[in-house]
Amino acid sequence: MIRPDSPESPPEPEADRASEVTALLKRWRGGDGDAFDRLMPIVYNELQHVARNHMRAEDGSTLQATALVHEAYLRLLKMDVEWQGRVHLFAVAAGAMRRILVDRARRRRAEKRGGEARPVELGEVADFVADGGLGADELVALDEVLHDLAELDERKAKVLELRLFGGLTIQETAEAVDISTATVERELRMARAWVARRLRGDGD
Amino acid sequence: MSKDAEKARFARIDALFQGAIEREAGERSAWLETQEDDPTVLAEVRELLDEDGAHSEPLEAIVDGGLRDAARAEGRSMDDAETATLAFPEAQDAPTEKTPEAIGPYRILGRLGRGGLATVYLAERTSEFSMPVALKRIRRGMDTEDIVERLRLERDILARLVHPNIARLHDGGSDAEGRPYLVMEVIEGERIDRYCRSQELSVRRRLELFRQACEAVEFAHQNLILHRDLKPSNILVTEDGTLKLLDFGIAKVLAGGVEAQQTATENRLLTPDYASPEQMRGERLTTASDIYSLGVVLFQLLTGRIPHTFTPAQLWGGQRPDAPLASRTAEKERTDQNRQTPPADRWGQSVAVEIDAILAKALENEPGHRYGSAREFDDDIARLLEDRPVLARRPTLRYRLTKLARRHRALVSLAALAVLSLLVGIVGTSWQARVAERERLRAEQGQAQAEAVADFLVELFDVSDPYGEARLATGLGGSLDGPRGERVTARELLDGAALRISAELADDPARNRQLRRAMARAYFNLSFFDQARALLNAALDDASDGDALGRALVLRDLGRVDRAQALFDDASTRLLEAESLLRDLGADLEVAVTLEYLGELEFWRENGEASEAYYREAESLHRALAGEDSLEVARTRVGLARAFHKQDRRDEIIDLLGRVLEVQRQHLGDDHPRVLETQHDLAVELIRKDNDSAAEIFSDLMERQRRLLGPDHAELIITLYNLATVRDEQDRWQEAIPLLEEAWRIAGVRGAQETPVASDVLLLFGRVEHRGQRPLEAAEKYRDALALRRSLYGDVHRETATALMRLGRLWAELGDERARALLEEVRDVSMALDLGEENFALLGLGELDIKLGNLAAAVTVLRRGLDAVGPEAGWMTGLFEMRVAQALVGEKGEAGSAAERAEARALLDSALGHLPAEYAWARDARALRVQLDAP
Repeated sequence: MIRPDSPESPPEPEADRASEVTALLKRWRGGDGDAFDRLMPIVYNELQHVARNHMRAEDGSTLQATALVHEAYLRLLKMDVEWQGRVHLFAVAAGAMRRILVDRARRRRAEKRGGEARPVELGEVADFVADGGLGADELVALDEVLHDLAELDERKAKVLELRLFGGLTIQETAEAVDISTATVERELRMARAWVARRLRGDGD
Repeated sequence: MSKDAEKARFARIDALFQGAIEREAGERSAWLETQEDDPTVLAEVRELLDEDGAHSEPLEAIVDGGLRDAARAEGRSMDDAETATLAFPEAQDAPTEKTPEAIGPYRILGRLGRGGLATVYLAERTSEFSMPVALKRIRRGMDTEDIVERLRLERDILARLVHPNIARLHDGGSDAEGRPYLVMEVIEGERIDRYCRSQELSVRRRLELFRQACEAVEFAHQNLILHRDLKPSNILVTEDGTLKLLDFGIAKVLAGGVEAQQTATENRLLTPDYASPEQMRGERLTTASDIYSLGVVLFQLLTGRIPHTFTPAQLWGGQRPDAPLASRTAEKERTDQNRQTPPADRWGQSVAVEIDAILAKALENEPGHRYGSAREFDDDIARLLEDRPVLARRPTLRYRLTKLARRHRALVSLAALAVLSLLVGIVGTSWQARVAERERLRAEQGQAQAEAVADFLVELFDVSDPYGEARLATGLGGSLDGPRGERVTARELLDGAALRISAELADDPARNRQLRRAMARAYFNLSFFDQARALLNAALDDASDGDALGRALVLRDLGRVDRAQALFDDASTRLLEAESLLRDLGADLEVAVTLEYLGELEFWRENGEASEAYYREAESLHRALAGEDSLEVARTRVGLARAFHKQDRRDEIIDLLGRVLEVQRQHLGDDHPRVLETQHDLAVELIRKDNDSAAEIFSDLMERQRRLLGPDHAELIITLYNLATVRDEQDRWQEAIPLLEEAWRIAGVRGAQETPVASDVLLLFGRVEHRGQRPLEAAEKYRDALALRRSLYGDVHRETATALMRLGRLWAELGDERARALLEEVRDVSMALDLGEENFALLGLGELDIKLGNLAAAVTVLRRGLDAVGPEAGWMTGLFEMRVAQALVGEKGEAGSAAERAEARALLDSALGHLPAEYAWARDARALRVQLDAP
């Protein structure tokens, strides 16, 4: 039942993996950082798997994190997990997604440029899809700005992370952070505007 | 800009932004114009609003871009995902700062990990061959004042925690850039849960291992440090099976002030399932919170699962589920073939019920229902391992004790309050007398406290005696009723428990000593000093077990008993020895408390300066341990105030008590008994110095006590009495009358009309009646007061003398012959006790003879008095001069020879120079002088 740490182990039957995720999730909620480390590759593999299918089907033209994450959840989760647990998994996955993507972006960036960062303009966004390297810079920058935001207002950063990397609905975000949907909307507007402004390079 | 300023700025921008988006897009700019703020803030808000209006979703695009990148890389393995577990718990994340070659005198061997604030390196000292160490340095850019302070705090905390089961601090310093770092022991070990799994430990072995964690936590608690983040990843087991507790990064010094504001950061670090309900709610934490977390860890070790996670509703609402039964969870997990669950064995199954009980107790939702300390938790596990009955199987025990203590706390503090300043307005305030009275009354009311202790002990032994034989044998009923229904005194309860301690705990010297100390304290509070001494001596005798701390504490308690029995030299020797032992042990808190005892001793030795010095030292130690605004510092200041009293430094006392009051209010709220007590002490100091303030405080106290304690509470007697004293001092004695009547009524209700305080009330009542020109009523009150004091204090006593004097002088004034015997008695008593009141007695005797027309006798007595006080005694001299004149020529100037009348004139002139003009005596003197000049 305990899955070896290596993600290269052979895939397990779906049902088993779902219950494993549930168990790991519970343990992570219990503060077991180790469980998180194990959840991550599972979630990650699942996300990759889903993404690959989409790439094949749609020829890479539209890829939405939200859709991917949700599909991955469905595959990962037994449906009998209580609501609280689901919301929590969304939150986990959002964090995992952010970490995975940013780590990867950092590595790619390091490979390409020896760790040199450069300012990025939003106008280049369209190119990101074509060029993973540029996407990496942008992602790392986003991650850093989110980090700064968390320093100033942790909840806003959390709400934005859940939306961006976890694709949670307003309702789900409200559940996860335990605030009203109206507050989520307000927090989100400010957080978005602030992060976008910083990414533009207007902020310090 | 500092972090806080930045945050504040952000919050302002946020508020303006939110205010703006509530308005129509067209109105926003105009609205912003009306807002007064820093132009840069307003400019930023405008930019944010522009951004908000752009409606693009560039952020999603970024994420999706990254995702696409990831998807493309499909096929590559996760081998570089860097999820390797590091020996250091804070270690994760990717590098941004280059690993330096050296930091301070340490060569860097590699990086162990990186946390949010600091990076941890593997290092070794350059100068010598040595073991590798872990070096934790604040990250560049993170060295803000806050964080540096935090690291310093962590260093201070770790420096105090030298224990085999706690990762050890070796060194600390700052690098060339001034960034601080810590150097710690490198622990090569496995997380406790994984260790249990990999070693396939049995239930028994897991419990034994876990006990080391209890010991480490107990040690931290003894040093007033809460860990606050106990979880398996912070508990490692080394190869040789030694457990090591790590990461005091969010530890807290109990009652400390330094990082009270840091809760926000801490909450982020929280690991929810190990956190206690109160921790989840962000409430003030106590040692009980660490106990809870330990409970979760043990639950996990024994079942492979976390007991439960609270939903927010459960956390805040009333219905919090109790932890599930460990045995059932384990059983279930075992059938799931979870390798984290210990293998089933016979012993493990035989103690399942006990384990359930122990875990249930550690995981109580109410902090007060959990084990009282990690030691108790540990002890119960030890009992289980030795197959002795565990305390947790009586879940009501602590609950009952807490309830008892709470019930009795009111009584105890009442005692503390009731003893204050009984002497105010009579012979001036003698703080020492007040303290003595406090102890005496506390002893009277200590019954309740002793009952609580005894009750606890009875239950304790009842537990290890399942058939209740001990109860019957010692005649101890849980309800304080004996086997035949008669009431058992606290003393009997204690005696019974003392007997059983020696019998039951012969094999556990440390526990034995602890209980004996508790019992000795109970005896001490009942003023049974010999019994307290006997118990403490017994505890000292079996000191061969190396429990140095316990031994030092026993010595200290003995010193206190010595002090109470006025064996001051012995007390001094013992307390000083205890102090030096405790210093060697590094038990700073206990050292501080011992210094307080020394201060107390010097206070009793009437050595104000020495007392002050000890209290000052205790104060600074407590300040270092718990902060300027801690209750401990406040307590030492009450001691300091006493020491000042010895040195007649009233202004400083008032200043000190004012500060104490502030701190206590802040910690305990306005209505806490101790706050009321300090308020009372302060008001007493203000009497005659600032009567208006004193009256205000006493009035406030009176209201509060009525509200908190009801209209008939004994504490009100004292407050009413003191307020009446102030009213008398303010010459608003009419207002004193209803206060005193009320005080007397309550004394009647409480059956307290034959107590010292009742005699005080009577005496003041008499004085007020006297001022109200009702001398007969006044005499009646004085007579009752005198009779009461004779029975309370005996005939030859200062207090009795005061009453004698009052009644004697009143009767003398009335020309009542009965005054003579009283005044002669008071003269004799005064000489016997060296009270210096003889002259007043002489004055009274002279006044009596004047009233009775025995002018010759009066002249003789009064001349003697005048000689005794001399010409330099101010109004006293004037008063005697006037009385001698009256004796020479009669009250109305109707008698005396020409020579006598001439002498009287001269005496009256002199008297008028001595007597303040507003005194009634000055008026009398002037009237007589006019009379003598009349033809």
